[in-house]
Amino acid sequence: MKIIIEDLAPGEEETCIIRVKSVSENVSRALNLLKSPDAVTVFSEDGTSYLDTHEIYYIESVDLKTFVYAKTAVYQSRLRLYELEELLVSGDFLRISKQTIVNVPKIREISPAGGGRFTAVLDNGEKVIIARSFVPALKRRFGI
Amino acid sequence: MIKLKWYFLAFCVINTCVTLFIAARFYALSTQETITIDYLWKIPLLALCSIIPAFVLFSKDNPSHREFVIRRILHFIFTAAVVVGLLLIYGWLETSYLIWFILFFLAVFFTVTYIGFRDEKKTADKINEKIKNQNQK
Repeated sequence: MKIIIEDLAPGEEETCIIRVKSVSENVSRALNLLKSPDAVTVFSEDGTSYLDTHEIYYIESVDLKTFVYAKTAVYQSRLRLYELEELLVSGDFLRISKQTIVNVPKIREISPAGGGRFTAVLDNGEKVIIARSFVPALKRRFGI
Repeated sequence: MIKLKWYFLAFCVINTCVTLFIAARFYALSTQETITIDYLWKIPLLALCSIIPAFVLFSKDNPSHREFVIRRILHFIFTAAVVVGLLLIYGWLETSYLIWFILFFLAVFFTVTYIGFRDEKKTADKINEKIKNQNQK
């Protein structure tokens, strides 16, 4: 496939035109990535801010509160976990349990946790559990 | 799918091990006892019943670490109870060979546990390989 990237003149709107005969799986993934937001609104004691989705390691729901984990900091989101999932899952994010969504590129390695579950070790050393019923989705994500 | 695979593997392993154990027992004792057609049903039934307690392990999708350890212990106790119960019903539990029965039970239990672990390890290794490849790009 030919890829053309053009420099824009100041003030011009960024546009992506995809010309294909049919939408293949790769094109579909590229579209999903383009559609996924670059940042989410989070808040902490310091106030409300935008957190780049690439900085997010995982998102967890605890007692109906949604926590967004970055490398060293923890933020809260006003959105429920399923709302964030709808926003982000088309990109690099994947639901790995009823309470957790993980940023897949942040996974350093996987190890068995027993009973069909797995432990994902993230780049910052944190560990999150992948529930048994979400393992097939993880395997699909890695093309297994 | 993981569950079904585990149940199938466990059934096959227990079936094979019990058949081998019975064969070894008859060979070692050199008795004149005959193996009846009942054995052909009793062995798979024993294997089938002994995998049922695994529901304790799989009934919750994502238990905490503490809960999982408790479930593992309960699984062991329930499996032992089912096996002892069936052996008593079959009349196969001989007190003079109790130590052999216990050793055999432990060997089969840990073999099945290991097979489950090995299968998960294989999946983890495949995913880790993909992660490694992605990181190298």
